[in-house]
Amino acid sequence: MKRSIVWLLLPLTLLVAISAAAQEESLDAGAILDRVNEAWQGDSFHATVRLEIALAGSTKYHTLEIWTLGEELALIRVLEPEEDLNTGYLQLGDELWYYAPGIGAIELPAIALADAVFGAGPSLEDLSHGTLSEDYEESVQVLPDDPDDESNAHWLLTLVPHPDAPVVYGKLEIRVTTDFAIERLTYYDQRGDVLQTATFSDPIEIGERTFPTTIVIEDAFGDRTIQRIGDPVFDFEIDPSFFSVETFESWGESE
Amino acid sequence: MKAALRHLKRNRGRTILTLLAVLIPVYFIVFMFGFASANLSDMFETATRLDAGHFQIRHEAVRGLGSAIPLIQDPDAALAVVDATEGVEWRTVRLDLPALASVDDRSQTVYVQGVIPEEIAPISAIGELIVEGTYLTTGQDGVVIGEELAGLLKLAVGDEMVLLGAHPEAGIGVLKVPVVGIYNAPAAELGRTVVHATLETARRLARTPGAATAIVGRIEEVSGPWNADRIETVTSGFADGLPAGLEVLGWEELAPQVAAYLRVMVPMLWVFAGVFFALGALVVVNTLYLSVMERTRELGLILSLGATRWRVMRTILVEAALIAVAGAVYGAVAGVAVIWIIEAFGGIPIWGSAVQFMKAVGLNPVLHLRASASQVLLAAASMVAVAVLAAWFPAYRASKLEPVEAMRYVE
Amino acid sequence: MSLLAGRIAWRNLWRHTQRTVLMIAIVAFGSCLILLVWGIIDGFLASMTGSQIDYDLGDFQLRAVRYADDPVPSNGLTPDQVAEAEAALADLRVDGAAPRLEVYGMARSAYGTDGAVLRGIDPLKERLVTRIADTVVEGRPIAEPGEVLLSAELAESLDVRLGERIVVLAQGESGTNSRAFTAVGFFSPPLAQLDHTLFASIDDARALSEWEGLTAIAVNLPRGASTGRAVSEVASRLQEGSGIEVADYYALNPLARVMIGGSVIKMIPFVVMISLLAGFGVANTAFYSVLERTREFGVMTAVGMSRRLLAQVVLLESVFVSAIGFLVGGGVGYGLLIYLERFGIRFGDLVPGMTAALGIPSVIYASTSGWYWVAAFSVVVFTALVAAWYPARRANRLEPVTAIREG
Repeated sequence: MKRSIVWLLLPLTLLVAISAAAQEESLDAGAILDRVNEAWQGDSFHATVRLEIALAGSTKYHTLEIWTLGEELALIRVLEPEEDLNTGYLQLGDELWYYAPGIGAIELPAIALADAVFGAGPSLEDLSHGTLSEDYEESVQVLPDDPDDESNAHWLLTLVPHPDAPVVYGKLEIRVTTDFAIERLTYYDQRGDVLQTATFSDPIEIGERTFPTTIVIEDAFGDRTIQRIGDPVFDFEIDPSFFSVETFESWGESE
Repeated sequence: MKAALRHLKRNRGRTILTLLAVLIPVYFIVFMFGFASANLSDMFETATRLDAGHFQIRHEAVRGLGSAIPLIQDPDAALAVVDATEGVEWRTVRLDLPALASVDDRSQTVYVQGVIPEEIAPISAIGELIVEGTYLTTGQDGVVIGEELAGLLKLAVGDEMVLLGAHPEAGIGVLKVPVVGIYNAPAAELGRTVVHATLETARRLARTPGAATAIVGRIEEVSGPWNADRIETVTSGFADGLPAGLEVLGWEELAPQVAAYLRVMVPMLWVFAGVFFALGALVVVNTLYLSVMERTRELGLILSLGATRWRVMRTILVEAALIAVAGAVYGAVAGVAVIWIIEAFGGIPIWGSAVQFMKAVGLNPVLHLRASASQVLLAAASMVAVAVLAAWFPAYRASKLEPVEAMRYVE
Repeated sequence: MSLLAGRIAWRNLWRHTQRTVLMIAIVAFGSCLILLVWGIIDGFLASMTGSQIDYDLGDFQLRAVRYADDPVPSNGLTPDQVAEAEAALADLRVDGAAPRLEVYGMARSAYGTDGAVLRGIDPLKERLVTRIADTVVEGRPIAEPGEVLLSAELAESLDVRLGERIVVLAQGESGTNSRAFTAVGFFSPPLAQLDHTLFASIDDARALSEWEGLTAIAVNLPRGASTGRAVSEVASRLQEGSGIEVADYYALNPLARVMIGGSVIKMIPFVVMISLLAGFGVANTAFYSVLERTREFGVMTAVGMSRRLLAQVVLLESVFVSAIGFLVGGGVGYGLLIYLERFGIRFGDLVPGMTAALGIPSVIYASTSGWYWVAAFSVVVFTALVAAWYPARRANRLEPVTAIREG
């Protein structure tokens, strides 16, 4: 499950950023990602997410409540299944903590986490590096018109990592509509094969953003995670001190 | 025949010496085989103890899992197949997973082996290395950790630590568990990483009830690398019944280092055996050859009295054969008897620095001996053959001499 | 013992050439066997330790005292300690001294993650100390930062191909660090203990671990130099309380001493049994010869030879046989050992493919040092004593008349 937590955060933050960038009208890939950078600063987000994880032949369900603030702070509270109620994760910059009632907060050395994160999939590293453009060379192309596609042409952002970027992918492709709605995020290995695909659907309008509420992540081994995002809220006031172990403890007490 | 016996009885001293000349080498060879095959058997046992077993059933690896073993979500079907197969002596279920051990602000990555204590306690190396506290018991949550880990996390028996399951295919399970025992393994690496817990605890850490990473089993009547192919015969019976996605691994794949060692040692031990055999043969030849040579004059006398060469030779050979067989039999019996007696006392205890090493790999620091029928027969029969051959040459030569020459024979 | 007894004994021996030759053969064979077996086993063990020294450890290492219990970079040598260690090595006759910074971490590829040890090295200096470069099977050893040499096992478990990029993550003081590396080569480790090792530049290891010092300095001595002496020399140059230890092979690999000791102990029953068997062989023959010569002895004592002299003769016969046997056996044995030491047993040919798993190099050199001669000598002494005792006693108690009559 922690794997998908981490998966969750990259597409979401990307979503948040790109949907923020959607305010602009620029077609330039660099400009889009610049907006992404800016959008990282001070953007807050809150939603309830339902996860369906099909892995190694079994399917599990979780319900989470997520808060994020910029690229450095994130807090996840687990609501379901019942035995995990009020456990959660806390990201403070480079640190990742796990909390369980009765046990307290344990700092997860990223080593252990990376060990558990198998195969492809963004790791804490991908996240905490934050600005994608630091590690990637970006380019954009306009996809040709698809006769079956009634709407406008799509953009394809191609992100190729710099040779010395600590990233194991060969390439990332982001397919975006001209309304700046992400449709698909594809991770490629260094041989040109697809490692993993995140597909975004069921968009809703929030303020000026178009935000997909269903994300399906599938990998080359046939494992799949479906994230259904409910009640997303953006850009609200939140005190950074909310992102702390005390918050977890407060839930425990109020039960 | 009777003549031979009479002759032997008359020269009692000579007879006894010749008898001993066959008896002692046979005895030593049996004894040496005893050490050698016990040694091999021990090494094989070591390899096929808890960690490897004679065979394991695991899920095929589909994705890169690092050091984790793939999960078998539901091992019951496979267990049924194993239990229905003839020739399986016992089997047990294990769940191994990487985990994070955490105490206050210190944490360490570890490897948790989830076992069924009753099933493996008698054979687990870790169970025998406990220095403080006790080993596991089913139904309780405690864990057994190494001295090095206890030192790093500053834990003593009775303290609690938090374990966070980190199997890539499983959910995170977090448990607060007491340390019930501390073991000492001379390999510091082991003591720092391996944690023993009950199967249930491991399942909770993996948040996957009923799952396992391996079914470990032993086959009946496999005592050493020489009959290890029985393992394959029996496990080939599983293959059809096992659910898809599961594979059977043999001990050689599971313990490749020991398999390699044995492949090297077995021929080496045969060389040792050969060495002993050669020395023993030399002794036998020595005595038999000389004993016949000594009698050249006597033979000459008998020849001159009209006995045929053939008769003379036959007498000699019969005598030699009688002594040889008697000596070989007594030697073999003596060897086997001594082996049994030593084993009845538990073997020969080892002393010195080797004790620690042996305990580390789960062996008892005792030298054992094994008597095997085929080896004993081989030893006995070959020495008899050597003895008869050794007697043949001089007898032949003596019988070829003219009686007069023979009588005057001085070597 | 009188000279006369000696001369009589000698003459007796050569009057029964065949018997004498056979007895000598027994002693020779026994001594030779003990020498050979022990020399080969010793050489075997030395080869195994040699393999570890050549490919992994070096002859000895300088490292921080607290590193042994908890081998993490922050327990390694501080820059000051490094300077002190290097000073202690100055002017010492060494073939090479290689700095190392080892950090445990996770190696990630697009297909998997595995725990690995990243050994930060200085490629040029490392080459003077260990021979990993010789075990490269694809690609080449590292030359600069940003490059990594992986073990073939790791490459397979992570599914990495030559030229691809992997990421290594490690824990530093300020959090997790990660670095990208290009796989420039794969090596086939001759030792199982290296199969999760990556070689990279020290600079990269430093960036990952955030440790400015080193975890060890591995030293290679010239061939034939005494490690023990070098170790004490270096240790004496270090200040009291420097926190640096000089670790030889046994300190680096404590299990080895135990394993080697175990092998030696297992050899003892073998040696004992060979000695007994050889001793018995000679004793038996000596008995035999006395038995055969009962009449002869009877005559001799009847004509005036003292029984004591006779006993001495019998005793000396055994001693001569044993001595000659020992010389012959020893000569042949040592000759073979010297040959094997020079040319080695092509172990790899006998048992192909097994050797890497056990850390055995494919050629094993026998060893001629050591106290094998003591073991072999035990054969001789034993045979001489046993073989001589009873017959000599019997000769001593000879009744001439009975002897002549019943001989």
